[in-house]
Amino acid sequence: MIEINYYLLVSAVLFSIGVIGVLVRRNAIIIFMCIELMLNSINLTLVAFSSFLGNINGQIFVFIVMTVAAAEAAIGLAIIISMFRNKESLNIDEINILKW
Amino acid sequence: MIQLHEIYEVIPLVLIAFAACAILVIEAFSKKGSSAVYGFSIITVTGAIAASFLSLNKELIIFNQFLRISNASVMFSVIILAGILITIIASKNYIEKENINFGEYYSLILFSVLGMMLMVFANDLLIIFIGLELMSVCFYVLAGFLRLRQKSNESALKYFLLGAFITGFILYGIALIYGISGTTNLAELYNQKKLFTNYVFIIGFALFLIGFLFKIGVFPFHMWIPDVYDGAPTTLSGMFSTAGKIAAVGTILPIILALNITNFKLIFSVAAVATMMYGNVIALAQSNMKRLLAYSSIASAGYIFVGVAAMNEFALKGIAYYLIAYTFMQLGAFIIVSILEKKDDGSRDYKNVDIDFYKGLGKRNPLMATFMTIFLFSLAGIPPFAGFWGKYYLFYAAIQANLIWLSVIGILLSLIGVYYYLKITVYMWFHESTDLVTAGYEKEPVSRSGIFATSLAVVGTVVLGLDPNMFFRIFKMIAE
Amino acid sequence: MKFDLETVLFISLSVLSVVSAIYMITRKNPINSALFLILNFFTVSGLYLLLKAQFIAIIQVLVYMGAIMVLFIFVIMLLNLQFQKKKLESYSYKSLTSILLAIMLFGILGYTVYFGFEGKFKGMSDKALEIGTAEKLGAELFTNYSFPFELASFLLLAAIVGAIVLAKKKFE
Repeated sequence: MIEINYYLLVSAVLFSIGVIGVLVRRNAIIIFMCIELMLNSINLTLVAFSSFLGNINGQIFVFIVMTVAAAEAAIGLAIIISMFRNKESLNIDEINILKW
Repeated sequence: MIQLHEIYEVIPLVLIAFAACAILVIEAFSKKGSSAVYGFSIITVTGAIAASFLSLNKELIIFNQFLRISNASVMFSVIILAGILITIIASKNYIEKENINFGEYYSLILFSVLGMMLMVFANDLLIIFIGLELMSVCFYVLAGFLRLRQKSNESALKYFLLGAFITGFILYGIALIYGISGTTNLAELYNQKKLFTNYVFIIGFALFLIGFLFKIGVFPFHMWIPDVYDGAPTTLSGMFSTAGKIAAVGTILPIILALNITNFKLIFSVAAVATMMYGNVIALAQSNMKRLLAYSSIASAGYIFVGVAAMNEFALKGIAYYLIAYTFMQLGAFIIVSILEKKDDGSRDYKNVDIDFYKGLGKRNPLMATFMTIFLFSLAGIPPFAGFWGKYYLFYAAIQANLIWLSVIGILLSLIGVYYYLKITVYMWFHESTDLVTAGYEKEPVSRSGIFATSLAVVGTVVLGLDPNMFFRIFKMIAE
Repeated sequence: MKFDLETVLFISLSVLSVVSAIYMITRKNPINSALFLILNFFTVSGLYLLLKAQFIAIIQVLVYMGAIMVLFIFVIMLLNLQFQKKKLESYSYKSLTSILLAIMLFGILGYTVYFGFEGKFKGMSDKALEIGTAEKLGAELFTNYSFPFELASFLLLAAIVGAIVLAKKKFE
């Protein structure tokens, strides 16, 4: 029997790796993928709580999070495409008309 | 289960949701350049404001405990809708000028309003999350609506990457709160008083809070605001800075008041001071009007957090009053910038948004200069206008909560703010137009819809300033 | 900790997921990153099965890997980022601070979740198997949770409209 702590710890590790990726990488698409990794690791936390509490709330929440991830993927990639049309670059260091 | 009779309690929500979808259909069947969609969205939002008053004085928990209707939430939603109404009225002229006259513009605005109202009415963390995402997704798109302009693209990309990143933190916070309490229902959470001292809950709530501080633009999480407001279409910058922030404040404020975690009081005070200082000081050095207003909106978030730190009944009243005053003056100022902006000439940049352009505006366009002066005076907190009373109530609440140092610092920092607001006023009335401006300047006809929208904002700013209690009196009157 | 099948599966899946996540954030080519992310999602899906959330596990494979990641790979291919390789990403002292910050964050989160929930639950709930099924989830989603379910459809509609507005080449 695996205790809940271990699931949560794995999830926290994945979340932090995602955060490192967002902060360090400069390519917009990779940053976006790191955000997906973060959302996914939170889903793991929610499912773990749901199974251990015996409460279905968490799994419904995961459903909604997946919907949100899909919606954000559509929007985010559309923004990246429209950016790329004008600028031909995805490196966020070169996206600098506006100061960060 | 959704029961039919419950739908009558949320007519504004249903109206907005229906209109957002209907616009897409109307747009498909109407002729190009017709203003059917424009009129339709104005009528819907007005109807939603009127219908909101029907749900006053009802403490209801409906839709299987997902929504909660109370006087506070109705008030916040009315403030949001008022801001949206002014934005939509002013938009028509602007989007025609910028060649982005598509029906999707109005549809996305209404979808984002749906999200904001859900956040304000939510009684469950799940609904708050969906509402927040609905609002944010629409805002990301709207920020990049000027697709051919690099600035707009950049603004959308930055807003999107940072916003989605912060969503992760909010969600992690919700997951921890759910794990420790076993529920996502806010009413049930408030009943588990024992939880509030548990450190897992505090960490979870702190992560949740970080997300909202980001959306409001409080100090360590404010970096995106100037960039996004600078790059986004101007009317929409006005909307982001008013309606978007009000929705976030209206969501988080009742939760903070209900949990009443006193440890956070000091953190909020420090955040408020840092935010006011940052906004007011950096604004001194700005040469672009949109960036200047963005920094002024950061400073305003600081004033609001003076009230949040006070956490008493005066604070709630003060914040509500400041928010309505802020909606009128900030939105009005942004709309004037949008009216004076140069027509899209294919150069793919915002023209005439520099401060230098405002030199001598009083001679070139006295009406707009007068309106702008009123908004700037109100933002600076000069007496007969609404902004003064807003700040007065907030600082008074802080004094009542024994945070005298906080209100003294706040007053001093807002005096710094007076300088840059007055600078622009002096530019408008006592400077000659620069040659550069007059050489290429053709006097643009200020559209009637623009004048109407700004007049609404002026009336709001002045009337609320002359009779500061009127807003609450009207609410009370309708409630009875 | 006993070394039964569950433990072995848990350890191998979690190690694989962490390793694939680290590989994902360190690859230069976005396609490689995307493939490692898919591997990561697959291992997390395995963890869902260990948690008896069978339906979520399947949905993870179908929606996350089958739809969202395909969209990512499609866009990466569409943009054809060959010349990006020349411009190496620059890393500075800022990356070091970011990594330190993230490790601090991990310290807080890891401590909170590991010790905050130690011994809080006596094993998985008996109902875990039941609530993970498609039957139970579907029933809940269309009765008690019908309101958020409807709202999710608005979210998707807004996203569709937004994506078309931004990515369409020309408007009449």
